[in-house]
Amino acid sequence: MENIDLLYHARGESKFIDDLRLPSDALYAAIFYSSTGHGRILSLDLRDALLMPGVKAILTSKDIPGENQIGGVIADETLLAEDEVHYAGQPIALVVAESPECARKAVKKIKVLFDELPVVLDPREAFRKGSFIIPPRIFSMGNTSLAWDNCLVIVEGRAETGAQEHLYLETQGSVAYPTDSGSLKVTSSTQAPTAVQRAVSRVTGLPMNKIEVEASRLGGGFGGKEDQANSFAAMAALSALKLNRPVKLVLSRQEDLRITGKRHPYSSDFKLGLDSEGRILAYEVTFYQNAGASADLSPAILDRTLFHCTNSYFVPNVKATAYSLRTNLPPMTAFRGFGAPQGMFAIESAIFKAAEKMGVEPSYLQEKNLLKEGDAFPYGQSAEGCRAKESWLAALETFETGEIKNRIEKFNRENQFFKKGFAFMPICFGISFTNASMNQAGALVHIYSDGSIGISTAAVEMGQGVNMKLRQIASAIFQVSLDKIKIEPANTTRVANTSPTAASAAADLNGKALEKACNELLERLLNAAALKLKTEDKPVIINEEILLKEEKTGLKWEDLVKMAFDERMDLTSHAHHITPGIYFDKLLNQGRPFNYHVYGTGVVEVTLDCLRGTYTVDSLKAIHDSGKPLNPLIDRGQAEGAAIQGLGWLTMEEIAYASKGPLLSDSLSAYKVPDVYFSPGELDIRFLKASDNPRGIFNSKAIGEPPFMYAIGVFFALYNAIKEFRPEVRMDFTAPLTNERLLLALYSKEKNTVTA
Amino acid sequence: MKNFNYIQPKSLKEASDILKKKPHEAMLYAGGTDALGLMKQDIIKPEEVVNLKSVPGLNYISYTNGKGLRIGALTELAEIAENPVISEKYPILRHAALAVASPQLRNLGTIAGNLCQRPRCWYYREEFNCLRKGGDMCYAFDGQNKYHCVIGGGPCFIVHPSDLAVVLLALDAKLTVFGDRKTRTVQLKDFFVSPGDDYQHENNLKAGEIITEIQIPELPQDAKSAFVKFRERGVWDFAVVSVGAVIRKEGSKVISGKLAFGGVAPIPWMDESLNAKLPGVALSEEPVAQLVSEILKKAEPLSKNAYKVPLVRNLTKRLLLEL
Repeated sequence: MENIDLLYHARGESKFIDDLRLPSDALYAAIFYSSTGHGRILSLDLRDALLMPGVKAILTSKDIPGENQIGGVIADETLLAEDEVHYAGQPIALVVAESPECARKAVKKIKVLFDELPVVLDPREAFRKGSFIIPPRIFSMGNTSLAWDNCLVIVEGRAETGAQEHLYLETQGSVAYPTDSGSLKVTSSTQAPTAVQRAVSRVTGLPMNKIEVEASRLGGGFGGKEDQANSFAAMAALSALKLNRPVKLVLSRQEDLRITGKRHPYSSDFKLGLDSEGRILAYEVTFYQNAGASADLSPAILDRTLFHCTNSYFVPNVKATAYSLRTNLPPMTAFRGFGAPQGMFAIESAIFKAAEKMGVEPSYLQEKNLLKEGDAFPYGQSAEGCRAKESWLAALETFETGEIKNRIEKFNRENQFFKKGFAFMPICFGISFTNASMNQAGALVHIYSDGSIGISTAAVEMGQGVNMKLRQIASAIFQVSLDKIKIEPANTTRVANTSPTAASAAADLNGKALEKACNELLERLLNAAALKLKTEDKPVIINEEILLKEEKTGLKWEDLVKMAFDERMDLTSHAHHITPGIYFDKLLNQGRPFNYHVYGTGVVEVTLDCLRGTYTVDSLKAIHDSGKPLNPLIDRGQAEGAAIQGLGWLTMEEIAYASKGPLLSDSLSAYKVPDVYFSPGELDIRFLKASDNPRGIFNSKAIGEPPFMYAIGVFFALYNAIKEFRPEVRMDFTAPLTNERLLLALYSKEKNTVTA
Repeated sequence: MKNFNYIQPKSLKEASDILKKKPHEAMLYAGGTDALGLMKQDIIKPEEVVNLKSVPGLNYISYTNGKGLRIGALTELAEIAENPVISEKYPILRHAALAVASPQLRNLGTIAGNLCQRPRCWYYREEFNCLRKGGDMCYAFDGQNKYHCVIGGGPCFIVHPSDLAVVLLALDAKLTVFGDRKTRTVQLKDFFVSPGDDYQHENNLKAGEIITEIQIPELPQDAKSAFVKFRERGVWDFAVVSVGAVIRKEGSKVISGKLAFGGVAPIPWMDESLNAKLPGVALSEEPVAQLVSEILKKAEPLSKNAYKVPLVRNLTKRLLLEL
């Protein structure tokens, strides 16, 4: 089923924030931000900027009528800096002018003097200084200290993963319009209209009912607009309120790269113990999360790291400790995977190291320790409908991995300077917001008197195809064609108190609410039809025709709707859905946080050019458990996109900060993301057959995040290839594995550890 | 970007006079692919932008049998890449031109502009008051320096970004420079300036001087040439390092030749003593391995760029063995 959105994108007809046509009195804002990572503001000189023709106002924290606070989880983040700045890129003032060019020119005329303070960029340094965002979090199961004695093999080591830029095609942006009665309408490129509404309310001091927030579509989000769209919407709203004119704020790419947070860099220490047969007996891990200058969503992300620290393995004794650490970088934020990739990378590193020590292949240990039905996770939940082994075996069979291995061994024997590497990557990812209260959604459905249907939910279309999935759900229930169904932009006046489109859960949550609302309306319509047809039996609708006992009645969908309208029936329904049976005790760190888990097994093959340190990912294949996919084409697109995004994170995407905090890689000439040339030669993601999921909408499973983690296999496939060239080398587990790290691994003089 | 006067001179003399009169305020503008970026980032803030493209007669490719190739300064890279004579006689030049940026940029960027690009160092391009911009320190030395030089650096540690300069060095090219109402000829190898001599300029053009032509001598019939550019992205990326080689050989033995390197030094790098070792080297595994171990022998890598040394050696080895 084709996603019609794509047609509008291809023709350039889809409207994003910067495409919105504004009234002629609209103004434009630009942000003046800190150029240093940490400093006290000694003076802020706005005079020259204010003198520029076209500049209407320059707003600072003093102009905020409400609270200068946008911290959602913890109130530790100002909208505009007051006395101190805590990261380079931190907004200090807003210039509002007649054109964006004028506003940006004026920004350059603002002068600020800082008393420079010490800058901390490294989470371990922040740990030593005691700069915690929240108290340490510890998940444990069994008793690791008793378990070490039973282990034949124990390995310890460190795993490092870097930041990652979201690089949504549409940069952050918002337009705010003053409306009558002192209200505001805010359109925002946000994954979370309600969060924007809350933030604008807090900053402007207006109650939430005076703030209408709309998100019609996003040019990508990836988590970067779950929390961080709030501040830009609040800035546009503040400006509109102050000047009583519509105000647009859209970041340039460079501003966006500099100001916004990224995926959290993590530094982790692991210790893994196994018995003589390779069964994992104990795992201890400590995560140092680089949270940046304020909490943002870091605590929730930290928890997901802990939830997924054992990936898809059963480990009887676990102690996982996680620290969220405050540094002088932009507040790090949600990004596809939400902390899980960092956690999984650590245990995969530990398994690789253990395999090295035991002289077995990592895949031997991976397979041996896969979760089985009923196995306990370290957080109290146990694996139900576990498909870890099933997907592993399906991958072995489907992709003929035995033959791949033979082919690779032959290739490596015959080639001196080209080496191939191979790795498996099983995944297990829990679906639900880890904050239980966020697992709710609402849907509002109107059937208009001509039979066409309008649907509002909280789901924000950002390229992931959720609108198409919602249309499919309504179409399947009402049995009307897709072209009768329109999905409205997410708007807080239609569906209120919503959760963000995040955690891969939008289709699940909003789809379930929609299902409920549609079923209510269907029930009403079918009762009306029965009345009209004077029957006790229940009619059904098939392909827009009303059938009774499998016979056509001559009554069509439009007739039925018209009739119901004439009978003064309510053709609107609102329904609310909550995920049943989930809870989590944050003191004991036990509960049932996830509605279900997604499983899968990835298989990766790479060829390393050992002279140049370059490589090609020959293939990335996976058997992915997506239940019964709602829309297989969309889901495959999501899985492929996620895998390539993961590939970038592990290989070429390296973010460089200068020692005092400013971002150096602030353009795409310096920050490199995978392009079509870099993508795997063969990208083959297949869905696990005969899977289902009664807990998901129409038996489907969430798709957005889990396939990201297949790319972790690329890192280990490359390590295997390096070892084919240089068997004695013992490497650090540091991602991204850029060309220079690879070259150093291949050629540095030290034989034992290679640190790039 | 600061406002500026846009000047369309009708002759080289007119252009040169403006540049000479206002050495700090006026800027020569050709394809604009680098100049515009620099202006937008406020790295240079010219008051007068002198459009060389309004001067006629600087866009040509002319080959004379036995004498060699002459390329007008304003010839676009795309034209060099498409020119049939260049493809036949100097394939290495076509190769290097095609390795630059993207088709759109190659349609605008000129050969002389390519030689006169400013460095890509991120401290230079960002808001750091570094040495090259008149400040008092090089931030890369103790900072993020994976793309910086491993030889010839100090007090500034840039690398020269030009791909064409590397092959033109190996081809022994010369430049014709107009200035002060006369022309001079300069060997390309003498054109670039090390930061030890002048850390604010990358070449020795004096105020008012304009490159008008690039001359490349005739290559012997039996000359072999090759260029390799190592970049992190498949297309549209600057070289991490690059190697150009022009070699004459008899059988499998080198008679004479030149190797030039990009991405390793603040100037396109050529090591005369290395090139002196080329004659007599047999192009097979052992002797070539011996030869490439001599490359960048005096390198002093910074904290994050030691990888460039084996990379250049390996690239050169492969290049020579495949000649």
